[in-house]
Amino acid sequence: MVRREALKKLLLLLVGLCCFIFLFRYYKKAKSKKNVYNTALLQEKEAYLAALAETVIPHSDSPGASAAEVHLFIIHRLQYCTPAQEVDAFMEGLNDLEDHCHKNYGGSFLKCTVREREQALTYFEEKAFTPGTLLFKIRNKLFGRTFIDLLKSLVIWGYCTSALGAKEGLVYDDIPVKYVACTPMRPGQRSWATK
Amino acid sequence: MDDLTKSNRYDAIVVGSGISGGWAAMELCKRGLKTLLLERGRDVQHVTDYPTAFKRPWEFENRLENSLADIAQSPIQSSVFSEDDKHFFVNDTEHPYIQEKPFSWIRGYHVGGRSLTWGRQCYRWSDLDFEANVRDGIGIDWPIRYRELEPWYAYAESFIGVSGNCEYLSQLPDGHFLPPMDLNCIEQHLAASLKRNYEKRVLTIARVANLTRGWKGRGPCMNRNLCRRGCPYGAYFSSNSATLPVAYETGNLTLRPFSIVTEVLYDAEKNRAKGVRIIDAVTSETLEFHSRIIFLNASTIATTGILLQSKSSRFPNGMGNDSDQLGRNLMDHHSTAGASGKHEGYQDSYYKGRRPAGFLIPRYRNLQENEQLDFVRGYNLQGHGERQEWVDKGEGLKGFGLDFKQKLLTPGPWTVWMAGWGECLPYADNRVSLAADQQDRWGQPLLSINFEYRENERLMRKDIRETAADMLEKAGFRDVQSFDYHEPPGGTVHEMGTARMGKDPKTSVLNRFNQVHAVKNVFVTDGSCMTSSACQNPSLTYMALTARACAFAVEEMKRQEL
Repeated sequence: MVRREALKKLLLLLVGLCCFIFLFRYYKKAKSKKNVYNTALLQEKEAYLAALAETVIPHSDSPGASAAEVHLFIIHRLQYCTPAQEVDAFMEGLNDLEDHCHKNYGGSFLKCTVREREQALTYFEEKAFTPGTLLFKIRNKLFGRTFIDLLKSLVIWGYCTSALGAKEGLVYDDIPVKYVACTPMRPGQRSWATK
Repeated sequence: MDDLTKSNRYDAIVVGSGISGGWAAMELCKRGLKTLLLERGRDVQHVTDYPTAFKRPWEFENRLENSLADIAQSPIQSSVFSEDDKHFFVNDTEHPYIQEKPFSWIRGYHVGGRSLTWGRQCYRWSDLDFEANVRDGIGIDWPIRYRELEPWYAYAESFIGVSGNCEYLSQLPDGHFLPPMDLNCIEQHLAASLKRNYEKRVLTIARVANLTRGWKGRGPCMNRNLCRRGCPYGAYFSSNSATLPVAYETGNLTLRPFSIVTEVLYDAEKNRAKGVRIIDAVTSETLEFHSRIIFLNASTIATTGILLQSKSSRFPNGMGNDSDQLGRNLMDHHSTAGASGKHEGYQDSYYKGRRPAGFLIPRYRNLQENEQLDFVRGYNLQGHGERQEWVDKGEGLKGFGLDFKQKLLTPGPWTVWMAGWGECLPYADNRVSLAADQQDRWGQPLLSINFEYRENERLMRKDIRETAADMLEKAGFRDVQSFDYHEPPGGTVHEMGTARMGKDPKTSVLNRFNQVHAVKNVFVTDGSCMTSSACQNPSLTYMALTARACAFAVEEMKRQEL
């Protein structure tokens, strides 16, 4: 029994070691690629980013992401607030998305229908680890966020902190004056824009 | 500046303008002393120097996110600041220190110090705390008890204005409160569940220095929850909004910003301090200022740094360091462990306004002896309940398009997040010292911090996770997850110790009135003086100790004892 236990432990150790070496090499490779893409190129992609953002948060009874100029926010955030590694992942993601659209829908993302655009993004979301899970966290820690994570979080943040998004998509209460601890939900109640 | 700045002689000098320094300046000025207040950073005028106070999210270039440049410049401070309040934190590159082990030293070098960005929680200590060291045989005994501080707690509360609810608990004495803020539906639900399920556990609204009604010309709170930008309504206590204006009104205050105190000057003949030496941060000039008494309120680690640098033949290892305790017993509450969960009820309820405070579950561990726990002391839980908003849902909300948008923009389930603020024991080798060979841009030795949590704190955090999760589960929450973020210490920004109070000069730096044992006209009333850390947020105790020490100092001066 003791020997079996010892063997088990040894095996576990070996597997762990292999995983570590594999991850470490992958990690080094990912780290060594820095700033391949010139973020100035992003300026040329305004229309493309606007279409992407609008796919995530489209116009409905309230304005969509492109009306809220989320694409400009994305460009600013990528240039000034996003680690190079993640910017690279984002730019590569744009290329992958284009390839995917050409292969599956016979043309650029910009030429796709709304339904096809949503399908294409869903394809990338399904491929990634589920947010909140351990694998997701480990992956993000080592390699930064993926294209699809970045895209969604940038669009959400950009929209919900824009004047249009905060005031018309959400409810913006500039100076509440009083705190009312319990209020009834109204039909069609939207969330508060700020905490 | 008035004429006094031209002379260099005052009745009193106060070093540092944060919470305790502002209090010292006010108390000494009110008692008629011509007081020089030295602040190493820039001036911050109440209201006019709160540049972001009225800005909306979309008016910030980075929409409240830190830029890569800010993070690179200030890797430590950027862990707590955002685009809207970064001007109230130091630049790490300009103000380096040494971390022998990871320790986040969060600082604000400007008039008002961290009183502008503090968490505003105000809790009294009790004798459970003041007697803890002697009961457990850890460290040394406090030289004071609750009854000596009680009137000063009351005095501090009645000046600053604390909103809260009386709960009649022996471990957390009630104070003089303004009307409490209200608990929302889910918080009331959790409070009721605690009452049903546990004998000793109570959930109450946080006791905070936010004004629920107008108070001494300030407030009331507008429930914007933007306190850390500086409050244009003066609706929370800061030096800038409260103590310094009163000090000015007396005509006795001289404020000198950009004044870096490098040492306290010792007069060996008279066996007392004669003043301080400063470097003017703008002109780099070295100047001296003299006074009868000196209050050091530069904040826990910095005050001790000044004393360590104040070397003389009488004090070769730093002023007042006969006991070799100066720099030792650094403490900071741990606050990284807790639990969170969702609740399916109350779907038809919401709230309006942004209450700038959460709830408190006062300490419920080791209230009696023999509780059979594997750690000593205790913790309180601080948390808040809310409905999930877009910022919480973002990660994990699948899909794209109309359906996604609908889900993103409507209130989600109710959630509660709560974490334990836990006592940290005093360990002699958790300490601050002067670096031997590294200096800052003014030629002053860098401070070196060697700090780590030990077994007692680790076991306590484990208990926090278990009890916090248990309370949520018993209250019907689902997806209950306990956590420990394992962030570096220092992040709670409750540094205490390094110049502890005590009865015996052989084992402590300060006496029961916060005087340096061997140099009676030097007082230390910031967090450095703390002999143990309890688990309550400490600022109110600094205020009470400061007011008490100031009253004592002035009486002693009148009796020609100082």
